[in-house]
Amino acid sequence: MILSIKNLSVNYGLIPAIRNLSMDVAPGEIVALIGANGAGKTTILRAISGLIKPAAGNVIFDGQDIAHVKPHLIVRSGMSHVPERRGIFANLTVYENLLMGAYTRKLLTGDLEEVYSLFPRLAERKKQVAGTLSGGEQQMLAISRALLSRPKLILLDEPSLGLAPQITKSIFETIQRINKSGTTVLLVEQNAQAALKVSHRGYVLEVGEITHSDSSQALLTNDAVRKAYLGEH
Amino acid sequence: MKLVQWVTIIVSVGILTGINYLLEENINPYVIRVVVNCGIGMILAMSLNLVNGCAGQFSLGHAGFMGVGAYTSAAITTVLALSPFFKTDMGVGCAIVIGGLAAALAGYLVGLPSLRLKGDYLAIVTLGFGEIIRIIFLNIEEVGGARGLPGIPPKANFFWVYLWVVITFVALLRLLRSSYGRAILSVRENEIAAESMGINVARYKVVAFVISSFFAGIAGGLFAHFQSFIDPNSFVFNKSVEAVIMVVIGGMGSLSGAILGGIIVTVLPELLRIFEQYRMVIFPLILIVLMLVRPMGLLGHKEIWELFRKKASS
Repeated sequence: MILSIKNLSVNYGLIPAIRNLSMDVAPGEIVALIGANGAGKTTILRAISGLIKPAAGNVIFDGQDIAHVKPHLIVRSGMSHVPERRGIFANLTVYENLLMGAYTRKLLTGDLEEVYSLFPRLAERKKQVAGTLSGGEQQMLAISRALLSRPKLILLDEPSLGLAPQITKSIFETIQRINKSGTTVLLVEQNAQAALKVSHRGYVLEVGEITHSDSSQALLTNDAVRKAYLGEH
Repeated sequence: MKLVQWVTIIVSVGILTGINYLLEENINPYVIRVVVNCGIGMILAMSLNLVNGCAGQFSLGHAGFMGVGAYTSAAITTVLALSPFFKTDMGVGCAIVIGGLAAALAGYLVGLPSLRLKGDYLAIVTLGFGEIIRIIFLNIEEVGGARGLPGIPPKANFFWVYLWVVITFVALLRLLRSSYGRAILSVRENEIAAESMGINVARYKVVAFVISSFFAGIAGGLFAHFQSFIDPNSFVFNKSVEAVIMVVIGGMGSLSGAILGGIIVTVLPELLRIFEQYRMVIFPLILIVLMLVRPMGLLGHKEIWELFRKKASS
């Protein structure tokens, strides 16, 4: 396992957000974490990447417990987090945003070309201020920026948020390409249908607890999941 | 450093020497006074711009660090008077740099605990620290207490002040163009994303604060050795607000904007002297109108040469 979470609990003040949660991600997988608003999906990602401190439990990444390691150090150990709403640096140019992605290491020639071949739109707009990009382009930029730290595992928080269906589709196709080139992906999504279609395995989260966990194929045909998340009655 | 920058520095030293000579020969002292105060304002504004504009942390205690620089350097050249060397041009220069370093240390001590806070809370805490620093000087009898510290060798003339303007400008510009500077900018843009890029956000905030305090201390040292008299009232809260106004008017995050702000906030009240007692009514009115017309400041996030480049291309 590249990432295993054991009995993780996270509180916001006195209110528990995640209770005793365990999950695993194997190398080379795309794992989807789906659930409704407020289920705690973003909280889990933030606890994994160190942005919030868990109340209890372990987060084991690449053989090391990182539950209490500072986020900027976790990045150096090979994990990259694309935050919810993308978190691009709006007043910097596309190119400067990408440079920040490679902050933890030396940028090699070819790194940027690789990203530009994944998302040719970014090459066209590299001198543009990132805040003026469209939502889809901003998502492409956020993903590219995260890839430039050469992560073993990339955490994606709602990549489809606020995007047109056509663009969502192309973003998910790219996520599959990124995965095929060797990066493990943990994907948090409200768009359960799209997320389960591209992922290998899925976890269903309800108010801080995992209620289903199976291969994505099985979850897509699971009656309870279909009713709750895939809009079928 | 690039050759261009060395050439810039050498050429500007030459020009400064020339202007300095002309000023001292021909121009009336009032004009010299305004021009030198402009330069001190520019250094102060550029330094505060690093914290308020580039790192996005709203500090309201800049006068305190200016005070640390002023009092430290002035104490070295007067009260301590370790050797006659500190009465010479070079000695005063060294004292001013030591003043800057003392301000940087003060910035570190203040920044470390307060930069955990954000926004309004940070503004209030820095305001508090700024006042505390002033009141400490008010109570040190050795540097004159409330009576102030007279007899500081008036060695900071046009040449030295504007030499420091050039140094500050080049140093901060190079900082902002480096990966270090981009990291500081990314903290302003989005702290969570910056953290996810592997940037130690807390550290960069403190670094920006320390560098900023250093140059504020330099501005203070120059101020002391230009006025040849300082008292704690030179570094009241108003002075911090003045620095903030310079940064906001010029455009948060723009170095050339800070220079512009430094000039406007120093020169405009002087030009308005024709209105006599209505001066301080008209000056704020102009500021209000300016903010209504250009809420992002005169230059916004951009540098002045970037504005022209854009015009040329479009």
